[in-house]
Amino acid sequence: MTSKYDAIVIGAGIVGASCAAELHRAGLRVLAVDAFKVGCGTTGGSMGHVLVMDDSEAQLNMTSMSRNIWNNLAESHSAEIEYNPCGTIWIAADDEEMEAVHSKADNYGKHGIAVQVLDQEGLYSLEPNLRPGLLGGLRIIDDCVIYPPYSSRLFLEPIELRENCRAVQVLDHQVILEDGTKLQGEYIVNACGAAAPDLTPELPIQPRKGHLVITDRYPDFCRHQLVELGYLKSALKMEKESVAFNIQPRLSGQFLVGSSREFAGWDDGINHSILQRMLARACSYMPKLRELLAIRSWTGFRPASPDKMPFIGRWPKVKGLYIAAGHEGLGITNSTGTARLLADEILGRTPSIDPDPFRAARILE
Amino acid sequence: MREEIEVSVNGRLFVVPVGTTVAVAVLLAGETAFRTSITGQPRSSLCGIGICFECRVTIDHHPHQRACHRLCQPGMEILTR
Amino acid sequence: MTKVVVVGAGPAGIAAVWRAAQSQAQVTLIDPHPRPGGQIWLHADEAAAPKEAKPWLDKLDRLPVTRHFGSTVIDILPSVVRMQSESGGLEYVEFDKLILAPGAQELFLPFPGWTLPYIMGAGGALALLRGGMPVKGLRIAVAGSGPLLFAVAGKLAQAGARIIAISEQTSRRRLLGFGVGTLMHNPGKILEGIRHARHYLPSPFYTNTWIKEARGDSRVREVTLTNGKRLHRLKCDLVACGFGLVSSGALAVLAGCDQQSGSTVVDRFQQTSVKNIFCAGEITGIGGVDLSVIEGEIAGLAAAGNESEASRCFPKLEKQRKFARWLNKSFALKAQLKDMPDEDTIICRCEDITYGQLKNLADQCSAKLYTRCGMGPCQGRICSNALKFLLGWDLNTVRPPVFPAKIGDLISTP
Repeated sequence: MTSKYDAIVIGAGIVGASCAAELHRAGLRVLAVDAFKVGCGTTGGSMGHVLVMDDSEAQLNMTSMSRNIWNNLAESHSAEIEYNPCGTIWIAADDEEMEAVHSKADNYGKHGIAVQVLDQEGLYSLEPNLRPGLLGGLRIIDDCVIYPPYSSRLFLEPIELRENCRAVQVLDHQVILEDGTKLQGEYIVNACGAAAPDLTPELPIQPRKGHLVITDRYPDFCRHQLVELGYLKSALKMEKESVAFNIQPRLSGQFLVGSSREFAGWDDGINHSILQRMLARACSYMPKLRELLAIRSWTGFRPASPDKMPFIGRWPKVKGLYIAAGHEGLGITNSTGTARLLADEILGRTPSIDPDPFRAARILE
Repeated sequence: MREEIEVSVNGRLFVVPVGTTVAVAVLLAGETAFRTSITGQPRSSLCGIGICFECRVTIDHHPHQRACHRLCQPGMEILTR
Repeated sequence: MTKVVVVGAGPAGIAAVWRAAQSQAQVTLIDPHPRPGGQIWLHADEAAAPKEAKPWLDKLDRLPVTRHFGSTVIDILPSVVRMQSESGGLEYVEFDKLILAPGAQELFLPFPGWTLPYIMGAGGALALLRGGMPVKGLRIAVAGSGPLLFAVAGKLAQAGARIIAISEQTSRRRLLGFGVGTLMHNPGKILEGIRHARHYLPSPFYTNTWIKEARGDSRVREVTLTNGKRLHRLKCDLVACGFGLVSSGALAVLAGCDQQSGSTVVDRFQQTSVKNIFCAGEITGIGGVDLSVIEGEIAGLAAAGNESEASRCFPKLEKQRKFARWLNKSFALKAQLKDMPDEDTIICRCEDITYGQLKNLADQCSAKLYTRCGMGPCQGRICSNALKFLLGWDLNTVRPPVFPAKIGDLISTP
C-alpha cells in the first residue's frame, strides 16, 4: 500500500520546515523529507538575521509580513528560537550613504516600519566600538535574530518527518525516493534551496557561497546587527565576488562576522583570500574586532535567483508541484512569509500580499 | 634557587618562580576556579596541555587566554571569573 | 633543497627532523610549547629532562633547523602552514613536504561530578605538576586506564602527594598479561614501572574498577569508585583521571587526510592520503614513544626523498607495532564505562550540554546543529572523543582556525 499525503514537502531547511508547518496548521496531512537532516544545509550555516528590506516594493511587503510572523512567534516561543530582538543598524560611511539613510527612512516610514535615523552621536552612543568618522545610521527597530536550526526543528515538531531520505524525481502528484519508494501527495513542494534545480531543472537557482566567522564570548561588544549600507551594493549586484561588513550579536555573547558572496559552484572549502578580505572589511568598521578571538569559520550556499526574488507557487509543468526556493540571503527572514503565500495559493485563500512578483512560473514565460 | 617574579591574581600580588605557568600561579594563589561555565559552574584546568580550554582566564585585559599555555611574566595581571 | 616542515617536537617530530636534516632537507620545526620534547619528554628546565630524552634533545640542538617554539599551527593550505607565533601575529611557512607529529591527547570520559575543580586528566596533573603545581600532602585518587596511571601516581607521590587509590578499569588478568608481554617485548619498560612504583607503593590498587561519581563544592571532596558491585567512597583533594590516549588528529583532518578508527591512515612511508603530507607518531594510532620514534625516522627520510634508507626501518617498526597492539588490547575500555554519565552529566564542557540532551540524537552533526555540542572554543576536542566512545559517533569536523585566533591575525597576509 502506498501512503497518500495531502502535501509532501521536500527539503527540511527553514523554508521547507516553515511551509510544512503552515500547511499542517491548515489541517493538511503533511510529510517532510530531507536528503540529510533538518536544517543542516544553508539553514545551519546561516546567520539568522530577520530583517525588513526595502530594495523593492515586493521585497518590502514580503520581508515585512515575514518579520511580523517571526515577532509574533517569539511571543510564545522566544527561547525555542533563541530570539534576540536586537534590531538592525545600517551604517552610513559617507554623504551618499547618509542620503540613503534619509530616503530609506522615508520609505520604511511610509510602510509603517519603525525606524530611527541616527546621527553621528546617536550611532556612537549605541555602538561605541565602531570606528570614528562614520556619519550615522538607520536603525530598524523591530528587526531581530533567531537561531535557524532550532527554529526549523520547532516548525517540524508536529510533522511526520523522514531524514536521510533523498527525493530523486517529482512526477504528477508523486515523489520518487532514491530507494525507489513512491510517495503520493496531492501537493508536492520543492523547498530544496540551492539544490532545488536537482528536482526542477528549469529553475535558474545557483549556489552563492558565503563565509562566516564566529568569535568567542564578548558580552556587550556590540548590541545590534550592524550592516554597512554598502552591503546593498554587495548583495544586489551579481558580481563574481564581493564582501561587506555585517556583524551579529548572539544571545550567547558571541558574534557572527560576515559577509561574503561568490559564485564558486558547490565547493564548500574556505576561500582564504575572500575570508581575509571579509574580515579586513569588518575590522575597518570595527577596529577592536582585531582583538577578538575567532573560534571557527565556515561556508554556506545561498540559493540565488537571477532577479533576486524567490520562486513561490505552482509549477505548471508538473501536476501538484509547487516551488518554495531561491531566497538568496533572505531565506531565514522570508521562510515564514513564503509559507503563508504558498498556503494561500494551495488552499485558495486570498493572498496575504501580491504574489505576482514571486510566482515560480514567471521563469517559464 | 630559581629566579622569581611577581604577578597579580585577582588583584593580589604573588611571587612565583620564573617558568611558572599561569595555571599554576592561579592554583598557588589558592583559587580553585579559573572560569565560570556558561551555566555558572566553577571550572578549572583539565588537560593541562592547552586543548580543553577549561583554564581560560583574563591576562592583562585579554579574556579567554589558556592559563596552562602561558608562562608568567613580571607584572602580569591575571583575573579568574 | 626539499623544504620539510615538521609540526610537533615530541619523539616522532624530533626523529623526523633528525632524519630529514641528515638527508639534506631544509627543515623547519614548529611546536606550541616553549621547549621541545612533547608531552612525554617535556621538561621545566634542562636538568629535569628525562634520561631517555637527553640524546634526542642534544641531537636536535646540534641540527641546522629553523625552530618555531611557542607557535601554534592554525591552518594548513596547499604548500603553506599558517601559525600563530609566540610573539602574537600570524606567520606563514612554506613546505614541499609536511610532517604532522602532533602526538596524542588523553581520552576523558564523563562521570557525574567530573567538571568539579581539581578533577583533572592524569596527564593533565602531570603537566601541571611539571609547571609547579603544589601537591604536597594532597590526597589524590588516580583513576582511568593505561600505563600512564602508574607513571602519574609515581610522580605525584614523589612530589609529596598521598595516593589514596589507583583505579584501573581493566582486569587483573589483562594487566598481568600486559606485564608479561612488556617483559618480552620491552623489558626496559618494566624497570621504568618499578622505578615509579617505589614512590606510590603501598597505595591501594584496584583493577576492574572505575569512577562512579565525584562530589564536592568549590572543588572535589570525595570520589566513589566501583567495580559494578561494590562502592568505595574516598575523601580526596584531587582526582587525576584519564582513560588512555587518543590521536590528536585535528590538523590531519583539516588537511583532508583519510581517517580510520580515530587515527590518520598512512602508507608504509608514513605518507597520508594527501600528497606531500606525512604523519608520524601517535597521530597514526596510539603506540608509545618507541614506535613514534621509528615512524618519525621513516617520515623524515621519506619526506626528504630517501626512501631506500626509510625502508630499512621497517623491521623495527613491525616489532613496535606488535607491542602497540598488545598495549591497546590490554587496556581496551570495558562497555560498562558507557554507563558512567547520567542524564545530567555535562558532556560538552564549553557549551554545558548534558548527556540527556545528546544521547537520543543521531550523530555529531545533529548534536552541533540542535544543541551546539562541540562548538565552543575547544572545538569538540574533549566531547567528541567521549561521544565516539559513548555513542559510537564519528569525530567532529574540523574548521579553520584549528585553535582560536585573533581576527587581526587572520587578516594578516604573508
